Amino acid sequence: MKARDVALLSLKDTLEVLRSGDVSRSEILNSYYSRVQKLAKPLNVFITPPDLAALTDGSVSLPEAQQSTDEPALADSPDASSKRPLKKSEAQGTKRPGEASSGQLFGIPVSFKDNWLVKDTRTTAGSRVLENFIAPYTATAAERLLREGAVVWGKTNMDAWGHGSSGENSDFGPTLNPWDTRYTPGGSSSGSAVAVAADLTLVATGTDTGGSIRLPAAYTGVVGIKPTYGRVSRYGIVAMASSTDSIGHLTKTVWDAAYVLSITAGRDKYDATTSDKPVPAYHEGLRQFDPSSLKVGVISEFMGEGIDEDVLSATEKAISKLKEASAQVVEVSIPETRFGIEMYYILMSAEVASNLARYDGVRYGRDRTYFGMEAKRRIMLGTYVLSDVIPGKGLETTYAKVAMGRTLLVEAFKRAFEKVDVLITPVAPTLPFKLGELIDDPLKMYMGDLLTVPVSIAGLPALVVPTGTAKNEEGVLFPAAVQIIGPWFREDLLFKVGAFLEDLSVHQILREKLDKEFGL
Amino acid sequence: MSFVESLYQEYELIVGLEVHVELRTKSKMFCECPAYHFGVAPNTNVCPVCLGLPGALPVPNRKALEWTMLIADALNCKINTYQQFDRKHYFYPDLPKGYQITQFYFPVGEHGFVKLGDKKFRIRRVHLEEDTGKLIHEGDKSLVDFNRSGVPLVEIVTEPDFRDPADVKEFLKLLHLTVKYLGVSDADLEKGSMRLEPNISVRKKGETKMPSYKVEVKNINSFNFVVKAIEYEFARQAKLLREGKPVAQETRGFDPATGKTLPQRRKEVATDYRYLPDPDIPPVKFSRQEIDQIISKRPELPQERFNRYRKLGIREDAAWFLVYNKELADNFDKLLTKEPGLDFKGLAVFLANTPEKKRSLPFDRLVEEFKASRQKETLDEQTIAKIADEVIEQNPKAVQDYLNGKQNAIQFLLGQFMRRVRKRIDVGPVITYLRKRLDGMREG
Repeated sequence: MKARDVALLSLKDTLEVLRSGDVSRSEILNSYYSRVQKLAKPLNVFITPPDLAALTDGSVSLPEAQQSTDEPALADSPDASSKRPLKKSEAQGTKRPGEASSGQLFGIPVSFKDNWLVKDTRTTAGSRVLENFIAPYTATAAERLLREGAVVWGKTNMDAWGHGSSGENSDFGPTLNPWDTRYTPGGSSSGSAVAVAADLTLVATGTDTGGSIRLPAAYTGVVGIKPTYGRVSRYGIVAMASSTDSIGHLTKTVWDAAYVLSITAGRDKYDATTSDKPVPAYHEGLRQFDPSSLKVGVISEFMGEGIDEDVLSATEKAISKLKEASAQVVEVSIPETRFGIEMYYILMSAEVASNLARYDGVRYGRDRTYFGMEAKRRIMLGTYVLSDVIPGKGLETTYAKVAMGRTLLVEAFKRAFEKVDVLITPVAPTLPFKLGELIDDPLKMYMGDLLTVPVSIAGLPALVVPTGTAKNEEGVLFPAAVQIIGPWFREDLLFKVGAFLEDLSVHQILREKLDKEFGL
Repeated sequence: MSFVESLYQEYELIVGLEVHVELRTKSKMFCECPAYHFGVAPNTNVCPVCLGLPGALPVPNRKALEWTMLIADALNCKINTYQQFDRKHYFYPDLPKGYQITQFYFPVGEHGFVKLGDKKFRIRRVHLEEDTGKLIHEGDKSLVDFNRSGVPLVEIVTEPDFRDPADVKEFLKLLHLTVKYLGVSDADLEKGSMRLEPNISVRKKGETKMPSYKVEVKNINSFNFVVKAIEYEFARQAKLLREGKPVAQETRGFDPATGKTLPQRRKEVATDYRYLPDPDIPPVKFSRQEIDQIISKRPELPQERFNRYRKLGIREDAAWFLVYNKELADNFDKLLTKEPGLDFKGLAVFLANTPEKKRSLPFDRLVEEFKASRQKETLDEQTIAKIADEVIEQNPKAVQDYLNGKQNAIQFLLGQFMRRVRKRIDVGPVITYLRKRLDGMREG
């Protein structure tokens, strides 16, 4: 295999060639590194790019399984007291804390969205407020990846604090869409999506509060999983809106997404909102899935007004593919979803205002003047909706009223899932928009979350997969994608349906395009 | 009538209390750091959670919840099966998250009361929250020590039912004792593990509506200072009202050196705190059975011990004395089972009368001393006759009373007899002799 092609393999295939010995771990990292050197800066993918020299401690060879004598795995959970003595290799700086010497992801480059704390790495959450913040501990989900031998492959660009649908709210400049650099890649996990789409990494982590994994996955043509709320620990990930923050990732294929979730998911004693439910091996048996007994729901409210024609037709195409495989498709109405945007922007703003209160200028070396416009807007809005406590009627804040409305939405989804196994919808009302097109019109930008936020409010899992391509009115080719929504904790079902629907040729189109443009 | 007295004639004092008690759990409220923080090097008992670092999440301490239930139950509160933690927002350098996790909407306990004699003082709520860090001011620098950040803190809030500072003191003493009995806190006022905050307002006598303001006084570390602060505030506020001036709703600090209170900041109202159910902590649910089981392990309360002692026939003052001296009472209780034949009524009185300095002696020695003092001497007949005759001669009025049918007079004469003897004696023969002599006088 040619060195340059190694970076084009999926995680599944990479693990295969590693196992067979065809390719070494250092060859994998080198292959990715050469693409990073050419593409990362022009697309502005990383806030802290991967540093191959630091990873290999200046020498050429990377740690191979046989060379290490370290204990294989770390404790189950992050050391909250931070009093764990450093291992010798950590103290010498040859290995990052938490990095293992074997495991299911041994030697696999994983890029972390920059709101994931990884000990000793800078963690900015895309904001200048945290520009100099070096994480003193590691997020549980990151720890689980590193424990399996993953290599920390840079920290990716994002809308500051996760606030945004385009990546343009990053204080470190916007990430560009590799399909056409005049367009946004979607946000807020913009750097992570582009890192996977442009083959700069094998796995990129993300967070999804209202669509921040799903939207950029759709806009760049990669797979994005937003797990059920509470499926993956939030401990150690800079909070945006705590009641909807979901911890997921972006990958090249559905199998890859399923494999990674099997590692990150599960109860964490440091996150009281995580579930005890057992974690299946999500990646097993994906191909054997037969959709003929599947009941698919199409939400009528998501297939009409406000949704572009090209988006609708791409969704319909995916639905007919399921029909052809004898799946039963029914229309379901969930009128409660119409209030999704309003509910989300009230709940989210309140929690954002609360979660950002700690950046008060006393710690972290930067005062509040470093907050960007979008954060300020949400802090103001959130403070407002929490300021109307009626004396003696404590529960009647705007926030509390919306929290009750949230219960209605949850009930509505429950009823829908009594009738169908999964719901299939578009991801965004439009194909990617241009950089600068919506940045001065926040309300219009917020409307882009129309189809993703109801899922977030209800805490449901959703998977986004590329299903083809579509041309916008200017004739620019973009990936088309669908959102598959499942009942709580039924990620297993989403991966099965997703594996059936995913069109791997979409990524191939982008690769050829990048080869031409960047002379790879 | 002094000026202050005239104020008391015209105005009525209204006091409600907020009392904070730090629990002595092993670990902090929401993380695994040790909760003990006295004399610990600054910022050593800290972790991402209690430092409020980005990404850190709170996980509630079950023991702290159980202990708070014990306090709530001891104060006759209704214990909620559904409890919730909320975020209370305000900016202060010792508050690393920009909010304090507390219980606003669904506290551990509500609607309790404490009885002091015939008076009943209502408890509004008992809830659990986290303590803040500590500011240390050195020269022109302010430093923050986060060892205390996240230590479980119980807040007990009363209704504004107090009208007399003496009742406030009595209440606080009993509350302090109760917490010590439960063994859930050191309740050390000096160290600040128990903090007292009276909310004071004043209204014209005869007025039934609550005043529209209240003044909260902080930084008080003794029961006597609470009384002083209340008295000072009453005079200050009543004077303002008499002059027709409004009293500002504010927080004031107490200066023990001058006995005065000084303004600190304008008191905030609920909306300023922007209470938000903490989305990081799922609501805590207990079944009635679980609550009953937790409470069934509660140790004896001061009032319960007092009642038990009274049933044993122990004098009221001696009973209270023992109840307030828990260690002594614990030893006393052990003896109750070990030597059931002992004169416990006498021992209780003896202990209560033991000078403070001697109380630190080993309990066994105190008991020995008591027993020694109980050794009764039997006086011979001649001595009895000699002293009794003297007493009868010198107390003609008591003698006359007796002859007129007042049986009690004999007790008086016996007392006079004892004053002359000045040791423990068997009084039976003395009484017999006295009666014989007196009855003889009647016949004669």
